[in-house]
Amino acid sequence: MSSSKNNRQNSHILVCLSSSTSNAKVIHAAARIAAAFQGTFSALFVETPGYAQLSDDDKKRLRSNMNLAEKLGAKIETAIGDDVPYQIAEYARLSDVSCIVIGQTNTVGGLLRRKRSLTDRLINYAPDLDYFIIPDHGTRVYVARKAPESNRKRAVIDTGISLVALGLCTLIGFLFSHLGFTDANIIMVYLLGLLIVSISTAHRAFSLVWAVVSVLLFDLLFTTPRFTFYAYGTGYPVTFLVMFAAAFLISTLAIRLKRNAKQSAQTARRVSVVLETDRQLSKAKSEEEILSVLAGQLTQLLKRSLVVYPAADGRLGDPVFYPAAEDTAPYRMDQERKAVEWAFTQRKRAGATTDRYPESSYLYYSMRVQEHVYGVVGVAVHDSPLDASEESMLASVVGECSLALENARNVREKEESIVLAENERLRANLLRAVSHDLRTPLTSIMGNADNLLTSGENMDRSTQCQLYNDIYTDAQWLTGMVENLLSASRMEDGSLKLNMNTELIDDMITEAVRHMGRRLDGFRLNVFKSKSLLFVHADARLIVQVIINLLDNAIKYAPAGTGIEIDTREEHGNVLVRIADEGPGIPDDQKPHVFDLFYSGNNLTGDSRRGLGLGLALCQSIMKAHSSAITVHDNMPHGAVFELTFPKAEVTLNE
Amino acid sequence: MNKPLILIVEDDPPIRNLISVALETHDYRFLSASNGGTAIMEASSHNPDIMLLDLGLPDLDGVEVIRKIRSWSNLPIIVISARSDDSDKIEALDAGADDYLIKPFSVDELLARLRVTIRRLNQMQSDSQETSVFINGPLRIDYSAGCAFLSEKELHLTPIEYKLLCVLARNCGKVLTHKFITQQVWGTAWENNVASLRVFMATLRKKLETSQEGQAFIQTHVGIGYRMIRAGNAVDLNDH
Repeated sequence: MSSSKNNRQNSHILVCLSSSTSNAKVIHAAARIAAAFQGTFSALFVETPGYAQLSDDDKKRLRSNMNLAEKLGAKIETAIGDDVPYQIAEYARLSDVSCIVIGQTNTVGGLLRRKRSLTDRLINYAPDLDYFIIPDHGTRVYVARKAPESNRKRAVIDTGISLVALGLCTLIGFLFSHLGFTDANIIMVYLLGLLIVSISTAHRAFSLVWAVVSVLLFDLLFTTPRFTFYAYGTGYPVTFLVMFAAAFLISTLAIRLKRNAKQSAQTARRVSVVLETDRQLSKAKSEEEILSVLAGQLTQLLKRSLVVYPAADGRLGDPVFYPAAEDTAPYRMDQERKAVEWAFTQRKRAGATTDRYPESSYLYYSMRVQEHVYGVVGVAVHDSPLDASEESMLASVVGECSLALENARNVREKEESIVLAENERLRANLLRAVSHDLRTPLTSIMGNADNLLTSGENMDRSTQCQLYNDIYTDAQWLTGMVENLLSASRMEDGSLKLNMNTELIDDMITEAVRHMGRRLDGFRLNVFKSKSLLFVHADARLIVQVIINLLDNAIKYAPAGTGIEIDTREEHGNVLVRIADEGPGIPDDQKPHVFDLFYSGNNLTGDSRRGLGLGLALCQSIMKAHSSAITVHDNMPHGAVFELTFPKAEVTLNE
Repeated sequence: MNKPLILIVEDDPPIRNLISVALETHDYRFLSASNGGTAIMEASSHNPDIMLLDLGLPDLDGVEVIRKIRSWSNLPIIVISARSDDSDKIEALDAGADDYLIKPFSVDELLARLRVTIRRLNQMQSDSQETSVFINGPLRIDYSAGCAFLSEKELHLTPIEYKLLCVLARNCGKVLTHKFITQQVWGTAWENNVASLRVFMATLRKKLETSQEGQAFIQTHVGIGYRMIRAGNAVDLNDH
């Protein structure tokens, strides 16, 4: 039960397209079958070498059949080959087709072709498939040929070639007969001429006519009695017959040879285009690069103007034009917009030569992978429709580019999600660390205040003072913590929130020192200002925070009574701020890590509040956001030196 | 002026209590209001000398309260703000506030700001008749002559520096925003002018502070603006 259901879901219905009027009936039937089986539905057109010779009416009918199939939900495919049933069978094998719907025709091809019907031969090639044969009598299919009206020039040239060849052969014949060679040699010369004519003319008719004429000429000029169509020799009628048959065979072979050569050239071109596209796409990383590869390949291939609408967030962006050199027609956006929108929303072809907005002068393809549309490509059609091989090449290149776009998007999404996950991890760590580190001072504040409230009277003055003092320092620590967290939250969205101004570096140092206030008591603070006014582009509050954190760090690690030195100077167009303490300094192995988030050295003992390891990490990210640097060195004889390097800002004075 | 009357506008009871206790122990008279509406009413009925105004009030925005009061009174307003964004403070100062305090603040800091403001009030009363001379410790500006003296020695100021000094002196004790100063000096408040302002302020300050007096007349409020302080207050303000 389930397996049969499975089979149904996997069924793939293929309908064969032709230029026949009754092909529409076949397509409708196939669509119904596809709907009944709930399978995928494809429509295949096999482009034979005869395609170029189809009449305009036939081409138009073929196109309308293609549009019909597409409208009924079929995926349009094109195969190129001489042997129609073989191509259909190959496609069916490669695309896992389970069922073929085809119109029944009686014969295909000309005199020497096998008289078996297309369907018979198809069944012979692919016997395992299900076939639905729709009666389709009285129509010309696939190899509908008409005299190539447009090739009149070619016909004139071919006639010329034939006449010259005939003349030359006859001259050589006279020469041979004058030299007394046998008739067989003259026949050989005519055969040689036939071969040349077959190869160098476009149509078989030339060879056949040439054969007849040459036989007649031979009869007229070289058989006794000469200059009559009457021949004495009993063998001559046989000679004529053989020559005629040879002419026919040679011409058939020659024409097939030419077709094959043309086809393999076309296939080779298509393969090389697809390979080249792939090669270029493998180098393209961004969406812009992929789109430019697409445009480059297509303009080179089709020599037509191109327009590309990239899509982002479910909406079409502004078009990018790639005009071909010879195309001067302006692009009329208002007229084209509907077709573009339709191609985008319906994920199908639209515009010129389709039945959706055929008034457009461009043909639009949606670049899609399954349900996701990455954009719309338009190819200028104006009044010369694309032929089937061009369309199929266009479809392959567009398909390749759509896949590349999808890959690019997947890679980008993956990278974004990694960054997001990293941010999320940092945030979680931060919250954990913060809530832990806030709890300790809060416990001390609450406990001390509680003690003072309940039993404050019983304590002596110095104990009370100690408790008050503890509350004060813990609250002060919390204040610093909150300042850092606020700065960190301002940093979170990158540099967007930075309030950059041209600031005097001395002002910021003075502000930071003022903010440290009493905490610097007990240290010998020396501030050396530079003689000239040094300006930097900075968010003053954040830079003040950096200096406060560095001063904080200094008094945390250096023993009371030691000196802290701040000095500012200009060096190579940079403004340098140096903050040096006389503490124990930072061991070399820890230097690379001091700016890491949550790193607070190895000398952390128990719950002693040395901080979160947030301060210096914050300093670094603030400096980075200012395109500035923070580095750490050793002070002589001992201690740590933090150095801030800003690009110097110039100020033009308004007097 | 004896025992100035201070109006505390703060919706958070512990902070209101903290300020009340601090004022009481330092012998100030005070009133309190817990929202903007009451604050405006108290201000109009009791005519306080100084207002301490929290910006985050339940009914009205603090800046709105300043605008309303400024429509009829010049009473000095010190803004108290928990918002760390400079733009709030700048908005309040531009609306007419005189000074600002950021939570958390220490009692010392609060008292220092009050002393500065009271001194300024006293000065304003003695200056009430339009004078052509401004005196601030060793600094003397003769508006009519268009020159300034430090310890009776003439200061060689560029026109812009002199203009700047006058703007600061006329608003002595008040925190002036960059925008206000640039508008007063250049007539516009372009970003480039703010950068220029810093340069002129730095050079002006150098000329004022090279004297032996070592007096700091001009305070920098990073990210906000500048203020000229009354001689004798500098120590108070820098030490908290």
